[in-house]
Amino acid sequence: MIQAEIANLSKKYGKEIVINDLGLKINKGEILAVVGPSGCGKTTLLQIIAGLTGAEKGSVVLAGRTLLSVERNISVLPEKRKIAMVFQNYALWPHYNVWQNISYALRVRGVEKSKCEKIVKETMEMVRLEGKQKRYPHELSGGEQQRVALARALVIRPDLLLFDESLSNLDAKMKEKMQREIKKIQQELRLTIVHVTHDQHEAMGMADRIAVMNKGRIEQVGAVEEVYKYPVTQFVAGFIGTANFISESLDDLTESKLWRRAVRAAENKNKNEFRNKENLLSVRPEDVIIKSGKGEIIGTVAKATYRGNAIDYEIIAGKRVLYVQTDTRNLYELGAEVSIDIVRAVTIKDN
Amino acid sequence: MKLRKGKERSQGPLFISGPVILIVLGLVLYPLLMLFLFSLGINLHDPNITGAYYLQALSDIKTMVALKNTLYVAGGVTAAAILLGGGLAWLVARTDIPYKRLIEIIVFLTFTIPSYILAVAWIQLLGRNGFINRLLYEKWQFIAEPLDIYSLEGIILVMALHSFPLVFMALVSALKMNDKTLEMAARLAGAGRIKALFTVTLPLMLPNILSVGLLIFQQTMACFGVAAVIGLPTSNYVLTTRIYSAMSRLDLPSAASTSMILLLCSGVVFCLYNYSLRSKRYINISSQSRKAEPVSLGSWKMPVLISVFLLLSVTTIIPLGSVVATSFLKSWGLSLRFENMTINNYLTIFSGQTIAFRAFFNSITFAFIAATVTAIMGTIISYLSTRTTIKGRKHLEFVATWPVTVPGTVLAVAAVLAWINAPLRIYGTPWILIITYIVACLPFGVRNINGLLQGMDPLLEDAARVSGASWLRTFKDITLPLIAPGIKAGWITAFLLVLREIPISILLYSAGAETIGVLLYSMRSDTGGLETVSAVAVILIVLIVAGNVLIGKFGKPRKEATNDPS
Repeated sequence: MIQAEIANLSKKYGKEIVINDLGLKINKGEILAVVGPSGCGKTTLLQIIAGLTGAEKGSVVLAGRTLLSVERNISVLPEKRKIAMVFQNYALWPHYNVWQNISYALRVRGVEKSKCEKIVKETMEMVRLEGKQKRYPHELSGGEQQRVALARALVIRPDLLLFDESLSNLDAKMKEKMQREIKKIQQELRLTIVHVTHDQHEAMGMADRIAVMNKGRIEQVGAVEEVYKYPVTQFVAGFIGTANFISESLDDLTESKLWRRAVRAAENKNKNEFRNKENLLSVRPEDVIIKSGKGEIIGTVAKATYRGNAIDYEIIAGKRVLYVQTDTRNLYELGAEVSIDIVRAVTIKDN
Repeated sequence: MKLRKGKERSQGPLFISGPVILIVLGLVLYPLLMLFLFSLGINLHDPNITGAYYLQALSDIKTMVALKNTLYVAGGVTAAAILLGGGLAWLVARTDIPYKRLIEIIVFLTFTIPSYILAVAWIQLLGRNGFINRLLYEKWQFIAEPLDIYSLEGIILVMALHSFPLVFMALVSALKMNDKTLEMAARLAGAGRIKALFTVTLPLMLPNILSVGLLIFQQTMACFGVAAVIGLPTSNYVLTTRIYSAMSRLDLPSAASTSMILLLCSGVVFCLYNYSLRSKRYINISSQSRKAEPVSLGSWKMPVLISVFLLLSVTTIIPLGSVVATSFLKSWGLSLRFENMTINNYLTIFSGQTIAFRAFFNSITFAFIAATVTAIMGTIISYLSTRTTIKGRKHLEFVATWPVTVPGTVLAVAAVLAWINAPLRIYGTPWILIITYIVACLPFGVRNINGLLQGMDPLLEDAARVSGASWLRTFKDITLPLIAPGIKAGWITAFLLVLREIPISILLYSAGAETIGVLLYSMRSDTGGLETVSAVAVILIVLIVAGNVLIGKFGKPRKEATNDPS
């Protein structure tokens, strides 16, 4: 079931196009991560959904209600949208204590006092902030501030919850912990969440689906695994994970050998796609196998980075660098000659 | 479902911007435009541009002497204030001199004394019948001739003592913020302490010194009270006093053209000041810089400390003591003995019958109105300028803050020209005073609030909107509480500014609308009134100190100082 639908959305700042005819459907009860490099328009997208900024074209429909339709001249004020947002820097009101921050949305809506107390108490327990009612934001740690921001967004049980880079200020351990907790709360309350981030790991850690955004457009939407395994464009392949891009070459022998090897290993939904010469092949580092000794394709180890659970190699093969990831059982010295094999590749659009 | 057409951030009701723009244009731009046109010789009856007034003013040797005097005084004050304030700042910020906090407080106290009152105090000390001359010349016959305060150097002395706290406060904060590792690096590179001071610390401080110097230069040029009380008795004119005497001769053409000359000089220096503020940003690179080892004064500690406190006695304690002592004297000239003391000077002010009481009543009323209007307009202008996208919002802010470069004397001349003709004739009523006070205060209202709004994350307001609060509710719940300190500071600054304002008051007041400034000024020549003036001054200083404590700025270095309007 679709909870929110964004269609034909366009937005300019001056002459610069920030959102370019964007469409996106958000399922009820899912966490959709919108990832993209900074400046791709993802924060602007959130602001349009929340009603904090307008658009030149397009519409936003949430839970059957049209929130924005430039064509029909509809624009619901942000305070009437039943959307909540967790901001990147949390935007906690410094002159309000924790209780006042969290209860604000209820107080503004004139919710009866006892009911308000009950909801705030419940929510504070949910995010594990018990006993911190009287604290002011500056007296809280970063993690606690994050929880207050989350609680503040949860009290109205919003139709849609927006996260704007909300986890990026936390350290790695804390981030993982928050991701688990958010996921738990989300399932408990059956919330629909759009989580905007530039960090692919953060997106993959929490989301059900990922939407990869570039230059004001959504390039691909899909389940996390699907987007990783079957990226449709070079941008997506390069942004979500690392990828080696191989194209047909007539003047470099090693490159053309790699290309033929990759074509044989290509595994696509549409097998005929790679016959198109404009297409590229994308090979994940873990899909490149290296062995010591002779083989059809030969390369030299130029760099090795020990990751603990894996080793990242940079292998010089012909005129190019190949990114390879192996397990830690076999170690190769710098300068060692290795034979190269490709076990899996996908075709992507060259953009 | 409510419709909203805006393509940008929701901006709340913009209908307020129209009236505010009209008020700002009418109050600020219109008088200055009238001044400009009048100085060119343009009026409605004779549309020829002649420029004759300028030729007249520029060819008048007295104007040129006044211009020369103005530059001499401003230059002298700037140099003296930088030496005095800079040296003291270095001692406090970089050495292990004790009682740093006490020194800072005394210096700030000096800053709160209105320059005009400081001048009166120095007349009490250095006038022909002053305390110091009575001691050094009459009693001990230490000097052959009595010291004479009534000279350009006298003006420089008083203005320098009034201005050095600005240098001190600016440089103490700059020295503390400056990256100390730079100086350490110089020491490690082999430079001695003194060499490091002159080759690294001082050059790094130069932009700060330059900008505070320009500010003092501009403020000294704009100063009227001190120049009047010290310069006028011996006909030592500067531009402000020259404008004043032209006004008292009802020579409007001369007043207008001289005003334009002063406005131009002041404007140029102020532009340089602003430019210097913008261009020096690169130097404060301190982030996690460690606190440098303070320079040890060693066996010099006591002598230095004693000299500092001797100096501070001269700059602050003695003048302040003199004013307080005089305020309790039965009559100026009597010696400081218990039987000569009285509290009558204070009682007369509050007796309700006297002109002193009326002046206090008027000043407080006007100050209250001006401060309130300023705070409201400052809030609206700052909000429009930082939170909306309406066209011309930055121009509006510029016009509203422009009067900070305009000396009070010039504002008064412009007000006379603007508000003397029907149907806009309010000249001769208290309203012209109130309006001109508002113009003079507006920059401080705007700046105090603007700073806070700029520093306040707009996401805080967005968060409230998303939480379900309307624009108005957001403004009331979030914006207003967070900018309240700025509004308060702006209000108090404006209130105190009006209380001690002199040139606008004496040029624009009418019978019955006398203010504290008028009272202070009119009693200056009348030595019989010096005790009462001192009592007024003491009350004024108490109010100013209280106000600064309320703003929370007492003894703390400020980023930017307010003009002394006297």
